[in-house]
Amino acid sequence: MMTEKEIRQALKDAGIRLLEKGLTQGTWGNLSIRLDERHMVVTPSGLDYTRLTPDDMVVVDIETLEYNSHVKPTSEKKIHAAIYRERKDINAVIHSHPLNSSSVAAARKSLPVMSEEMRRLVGGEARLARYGLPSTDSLTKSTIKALEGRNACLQANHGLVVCAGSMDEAFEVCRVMEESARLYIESEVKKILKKDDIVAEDIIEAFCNIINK
Amino acid sequence: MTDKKIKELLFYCKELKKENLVALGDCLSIRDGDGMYVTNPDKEIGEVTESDISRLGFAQVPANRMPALHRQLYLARPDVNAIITNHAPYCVAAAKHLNSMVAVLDDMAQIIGPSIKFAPSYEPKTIVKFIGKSNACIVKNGGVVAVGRTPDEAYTGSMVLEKGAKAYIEGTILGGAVKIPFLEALLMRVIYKNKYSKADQKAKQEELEI
Repeated sequence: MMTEKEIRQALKDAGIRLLEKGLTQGTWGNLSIRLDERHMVVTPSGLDYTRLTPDDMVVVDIETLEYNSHVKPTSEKKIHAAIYRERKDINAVIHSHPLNSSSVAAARKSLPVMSEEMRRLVGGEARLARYGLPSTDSLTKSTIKALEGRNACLQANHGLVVCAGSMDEAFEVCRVMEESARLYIESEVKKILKKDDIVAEDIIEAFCNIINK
Repeated sequence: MTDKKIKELLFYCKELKKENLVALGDCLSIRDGDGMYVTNPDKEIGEVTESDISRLGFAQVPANRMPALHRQLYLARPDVNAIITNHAPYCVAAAKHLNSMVAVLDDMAQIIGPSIKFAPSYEPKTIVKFIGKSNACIVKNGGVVAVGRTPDEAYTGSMVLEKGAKAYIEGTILGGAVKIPFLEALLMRVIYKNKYSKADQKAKQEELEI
């Protein structure tokens, strides 16, 4: 069991890792780790990960969403809290906006199983949570529903939510989701262009084929 | 303070290069009183060093170069303290093949707005008109003009616009990119600008004294 101090540092490190791995941009995305049965520690709202300190992390009550800090917790705390309430096996949550997953989310598609690794880490197809404004109850409910029996889901026009037993495992789920999203996009490009192998420029060619039809 | 501003420009030159969002002719600047620090557009962004950054007073900017566009934007927009003109691959594709592009991701709606305008040319007054009160525009058959309260905000705008263009293009390939309803996109933009990013941007402005 990690101490609150260790969790605060782990979140700071995970925020930097999220940026370094290209899994989010700027102040976007948020992370949390379960502290105990009743509390989680979350990243704050609207601050750049490179500027955060462990002291900026906020302890939030999972049931009431109350917190005792001068720093505001992430505006997506409802989703984090709901996941910890619903899933006792979950100890870490990442909400991020990686590029390929976001493209699938923009098309409002679920992400099919693209590899055995994805099946193992995610638990099957990653469902799409229906569109809702950020921070709303509606988005929280649809996210929890999409996560049933899964460790990841896409949020329509928004991004990706993953959960796992630890932050390291959550990063693995994030990685496999992003790789699978890339494979999914590439498989559609191959179908459109009727090619077995593609290069980056083929994505634009496939797009032109569609819009010029 | 001069040092800080130059270091900031050098940092974002490297970030743009690292993300492969640049081509020759691209240019970054930061406001400095009645002038600006600006990179040499003839130098490839990834190769820019301190000696490629000049301080130009607004009265001494050459009229026919990219810095003239930056000057015009600073004069028209007192809220703008940093400008990036760059060529990111998906935005360049959008500039070539589209005439309009709506936000299909929340982060584009928040940072850019419900849609991005396409200016017909880089002519400074045209860009000022098309960018209006927003943070960016795409130039038809060109690239991106992104502005911000800080270099960080202009850079994030450019990044998010590239991400939005990628999502629009790849979403179309996957069966159709779905736009965010206009009013919801507008609401997100207002909340981001006036609330969500305010503390972060204020701290960054204070650090650079801009």
